[in-house]
Amino acid sequence: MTETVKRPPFDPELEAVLTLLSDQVPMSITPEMIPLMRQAAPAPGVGVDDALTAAGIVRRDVTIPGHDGDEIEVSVLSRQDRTGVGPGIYYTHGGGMIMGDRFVGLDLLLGWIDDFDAVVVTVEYRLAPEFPDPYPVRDCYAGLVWTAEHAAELGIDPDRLIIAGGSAGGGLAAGTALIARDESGPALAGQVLVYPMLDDRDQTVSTTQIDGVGVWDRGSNRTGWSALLGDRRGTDDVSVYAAPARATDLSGLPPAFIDCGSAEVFRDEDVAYASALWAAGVQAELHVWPGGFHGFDIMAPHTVLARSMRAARDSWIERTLGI
Amino acid sequence: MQELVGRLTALDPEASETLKVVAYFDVLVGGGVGLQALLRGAALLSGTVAGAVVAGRTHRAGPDGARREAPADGGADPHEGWPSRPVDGGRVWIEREGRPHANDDMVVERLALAVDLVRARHDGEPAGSLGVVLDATREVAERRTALARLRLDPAREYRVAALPASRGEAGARSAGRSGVAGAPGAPSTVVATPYGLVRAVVLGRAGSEAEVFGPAGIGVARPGDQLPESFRTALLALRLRPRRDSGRGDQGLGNNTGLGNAGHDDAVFDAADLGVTLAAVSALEPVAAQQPDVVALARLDARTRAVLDELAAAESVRAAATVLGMHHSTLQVRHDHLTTELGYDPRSLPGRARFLLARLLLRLVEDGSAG
Repeated sequence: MTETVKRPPFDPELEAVLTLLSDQVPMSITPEMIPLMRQAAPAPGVGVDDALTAAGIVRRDVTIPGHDGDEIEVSVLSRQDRTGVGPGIYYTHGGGMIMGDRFVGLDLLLGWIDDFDAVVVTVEYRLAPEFPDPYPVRDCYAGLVWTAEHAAELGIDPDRLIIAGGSAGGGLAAGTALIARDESGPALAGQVLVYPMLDDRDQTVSTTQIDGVGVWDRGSNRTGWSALLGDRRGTDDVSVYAAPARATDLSGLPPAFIDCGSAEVFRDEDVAYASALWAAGVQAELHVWPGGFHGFDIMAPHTVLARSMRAARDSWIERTLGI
Repeated sequence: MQELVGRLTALDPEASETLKVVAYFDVLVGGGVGLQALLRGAALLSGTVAGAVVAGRTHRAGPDGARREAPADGGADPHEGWPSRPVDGGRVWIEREGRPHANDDMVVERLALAVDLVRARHDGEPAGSLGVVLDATREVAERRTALARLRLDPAREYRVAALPASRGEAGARSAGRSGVAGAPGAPSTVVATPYGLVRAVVLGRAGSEAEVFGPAGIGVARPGDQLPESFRTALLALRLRPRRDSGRGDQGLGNNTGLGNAGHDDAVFDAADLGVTLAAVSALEPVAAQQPDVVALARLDARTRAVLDELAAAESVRAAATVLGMHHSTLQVRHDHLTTELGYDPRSLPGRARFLLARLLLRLVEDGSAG
C-alpha cells in the first residue's frame, strides 16, 4: 500500500489497537453496506439493561412527538435512588446518520449519570437514508423541546440542561442548538460536541488525509452525508442545521466543548467550528488529541490518550454544570 | 466505528491469537512507548492486571488502563502460579487467577521482550544513532554524524547482522547477550521493519559469521556511510534462511549448495554467499507470489519439497535416495513424475537455477516475518 498524502501519525497505543481491529471493521463504508452494517451491529438495546442494572441506573422509555408529530422514542436514565432536581443531559447518539441507536456511547452516559447525578434523556431519532434531512435533526430538536417542557417532572433544573453527542450525534447536537437559538426554543447551558460531524462539503485537508486509513474515513463520511442529503450533498441547498459548519452566524449559542483526534476526518471542521464560535464571542474549549483516530476513546478506552480525553471532557461538564 | 465493534476487549481465552499479540507489542515498541503503555497493552490483551518489577519498583496496570497500587504487603514478586517471566533486573507477570487462557504465555513473553527493548532504549544506549545509520531515508550527512557518535569509520567496511528481536530473553542490552560473541562493544539496536522487530548488530568486515549465532542474516560488506544497504541485505538473508519447519530438505539446500552454513532454524545465512542470486531475489520479490515456478512449489507438501531439495542438491539420484532413505528406483520414478509436474528437470543445469530461485522466493512469500 502506498501512502502519498502526508498525515499525522497515529499514537502508537492507538495504532496497536488498529492492528487488532483491522480484520473486524471495513475500511470504508459504502452505501450498499448500510443494511449489512446495521445487521452486524448488536440489536437495539441488547446488553443495555444489564449494564444499567450493574451501574444502579433505571431506564424509562417514553414515546413522544417527533418531527411533524410522528411518534419517536426517548429513554430517561437516572440513578435509582435519585431525588430532587439536578443537572440534565440531552443526548444525541452517533452512527454516521445511518446507524446506531440511542444507547451507542452508553459508557459515557453511565459516568455522567453516576458522577454528576445527572438525568439523561437519549433520543431515538430516525436514521437516513430512509429518513433523510431534516428528519434526524428535527427529531433531535423535538426531543429537546419535550425534555425542557417536562423538566420539572424529570427532575431537571432547566438552568442546568446541556446537550451532548458524539460523531454524527455531535453534528446533530450542534444543529439542534442552532435551531433552539433561532426558534427561541429551550435555553441550553452548554453543548458537548464530541468529534462532531459538521461539514458535508468534503473539502478539508483532514478528509483527504484520512482516506482508506483509520476509522470513519473519507469514503464512509461521503456515504453518511449522501444518505442524509442525497443529491444536495455539497451543493448550496443544505441548511446550517444539517451541516452546522455552513453557519455564518454563531453568536448567541451556548458555551461549547469540542474535541477530536488529529488523525481523523472531522479534525479540520471541528477546529474551524471552535474558531468560528470564538469569533462570534461564544466561549468554547477545544482539544485536539495527537494521533487520535475517530472514536478512539470508545474503541480503545484503556489508552492514555482515551483516558485523558474523557477526563478533559468530564472536567468541562463539571465546571459548566457547576458541580 | 464504535457502533459496530464496540470497545476493544481481551483476546479469546480459548483461541490462540499469537499474531495479534505479536503485532500489538511490535507496534508499541516500534512507536517508542514506555513501560506503562506496555503494561496497559498486556492487561488489555489478557483481560487482567499486568505487572512489572524493574529497578526495585513495582508497576501495575488494569485492563481499563488505570494504574493499580502496588500490593500493600510490599510484595515485589508475582504470586506463584501467575504467568511470569524475567526481564533485565526484574520480572513481569499477568495476574491470572484460575484457569490460564490460551494467550497468557505469549502475552507475557512479548511483554518481557518489549520491556527489555524499551528500557534499553531509554538507558542511553547509542541505539538511536544506529537507527539513523541504518535508515536509507536519512541524508548521508546525518548518517555520518551518527557514525561519529558510534565511533564508526564512514570509509571502513562493516557488515550488519539481522537477528529476530525475540532472541535473548532478558538480554536486549548488551551485545554479548544478544547472540553476538566476541564483539562486546558491537553497536546494536532494534529496528521496526515490515517483517516485525529485528535486532541489528554492526560487525567487522571479515570472519563475522563466527561472531553471530543463528538464526541470523548477515548483510553484504559496505562502507560505514552505506550501511542501509548492508542492513537491507541482512534482513533479506534473515528471511531467506532455511527454516526447520519447512522440511528437512532445507538442510540440503543450505549445506550442499553453499547457501548457508547451518541447516536448522538457528541458521546463519550470509547474503554475500548468494552473489548475483541476491540481486535476482531482491528484484523479483514484489512479483514473487505470481511467478508460476513459485506457485508450483507452493502447492507441494513439505515432504515433496524435501525430495526436490535433495534431488537438486545431490551428486546423483542414488546419493539423494540414500540421504532421503528411499530406494533409488522409487526416487527415480518420483523424479520423472516431478519433472513432468514442474515442467523442468530440477537436476538439469537450467532446471537447478529455476528451482533454486523459486525455492528462495517461496521462503519470502511464505514467511514474511523475520522473527
